[in-house]
Amino acid sequence: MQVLIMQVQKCSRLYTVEYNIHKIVTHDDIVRLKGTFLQQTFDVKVPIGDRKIAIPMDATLKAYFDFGGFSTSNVQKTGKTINIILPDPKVVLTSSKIDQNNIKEYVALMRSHFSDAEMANYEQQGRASIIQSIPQLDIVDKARENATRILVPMLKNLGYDEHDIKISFRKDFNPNDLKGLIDNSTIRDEQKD
Amino acid sequence: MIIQQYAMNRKIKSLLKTLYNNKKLTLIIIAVILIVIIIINVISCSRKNAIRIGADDRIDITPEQIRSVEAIGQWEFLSVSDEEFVDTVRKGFFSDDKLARIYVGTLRLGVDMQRVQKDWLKVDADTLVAILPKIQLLDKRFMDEARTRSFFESGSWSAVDREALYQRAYRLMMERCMTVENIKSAEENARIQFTALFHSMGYSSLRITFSNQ
Repeated sequence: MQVLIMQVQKCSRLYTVEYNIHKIVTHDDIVRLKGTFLQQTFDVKVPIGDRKIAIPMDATLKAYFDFGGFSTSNVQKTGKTINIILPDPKVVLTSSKIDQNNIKEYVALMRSHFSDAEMANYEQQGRASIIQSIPQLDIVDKARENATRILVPMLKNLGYDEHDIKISFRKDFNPNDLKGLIDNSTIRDEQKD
Repeated sequence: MIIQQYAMNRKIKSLLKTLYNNKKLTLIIIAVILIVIIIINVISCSRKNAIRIGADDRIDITPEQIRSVEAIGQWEFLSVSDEEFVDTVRKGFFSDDKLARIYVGTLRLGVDMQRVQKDWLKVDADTLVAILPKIQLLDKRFMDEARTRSFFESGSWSAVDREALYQRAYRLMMERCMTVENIKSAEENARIQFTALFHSMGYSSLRITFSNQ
């Protein structure tokens, strides 16, 4: 046993919403004979039996606001009122767990069992599929709502009246923008894998 | 020159006459020409022949299901990303079975804002006083098991064996990352970050402490 990489990073991130996602990754392993012969392509199933696998997995997605670059430009005070302009939220995949005990395998007599490397490959593809589904989730709007719920009581403690507190955001996002809100570490991990 | 051309024409005429009279020979010649054409064609087409036996390793398209959505308030001040190489050996009569995997995880240290006391933030005279909950591991589910890399496998291994390896990697990451130094570092950074935050809101005098709870 040995540690390969350890990276320690200081930051200031406020996580405001957590999504727990469940997915069953399936793979149908059919051996096929493919090719071209005399400029004719062919693709036929080889009758040596199929293999199938179903891998249940859970993943946790969280949305956060990075306060690392928060400065006076994010705060507007006019008389008794205060307006906090929050940075754009980011979404990160914080954990994933494979339900090892409930993995189901169906392997024909002529075929070998799924190897550890094959299973790891399917799990990585399942993770990538969850990351791709992030823009379809309502996670960014939920993150903004919950940020307000945390920051308003904080500002009330500082003596501001609830009506004088405004939490605003840089811009509204359209579906095309949402992919850009996925944390770099999550995308980098996906590409590396 | 004219004589030579005349002789050539006569030879061709004589050959055509022979072919006309000998139909069997004509058929043989035509058959030979056709066979040559077919062979040339087959050779030129066969250059692009390819054959491959295998299976597609892509997963099927299945839906993602949202199990729960939770409002949280976790303020992270230190993240520790870790990779652990974990292996196991099963002794056999003829040979040993081995399984080695590389696990990945990120431990996030910070304060849980849902654990703050009612009056955790108040203004005392001209000083802003903040009492933060103690630094803790923000989420016990810190391992990204779907990113696990298979390093080596020999023999057959069950789900129980893989789960045991996962649990060992989990314990190793906890031991290596949840150190006094890292907790102190997170605490120091929390002070720095909260000071900067409240400075930007116009508070210059601050007192930040951590509760024991």
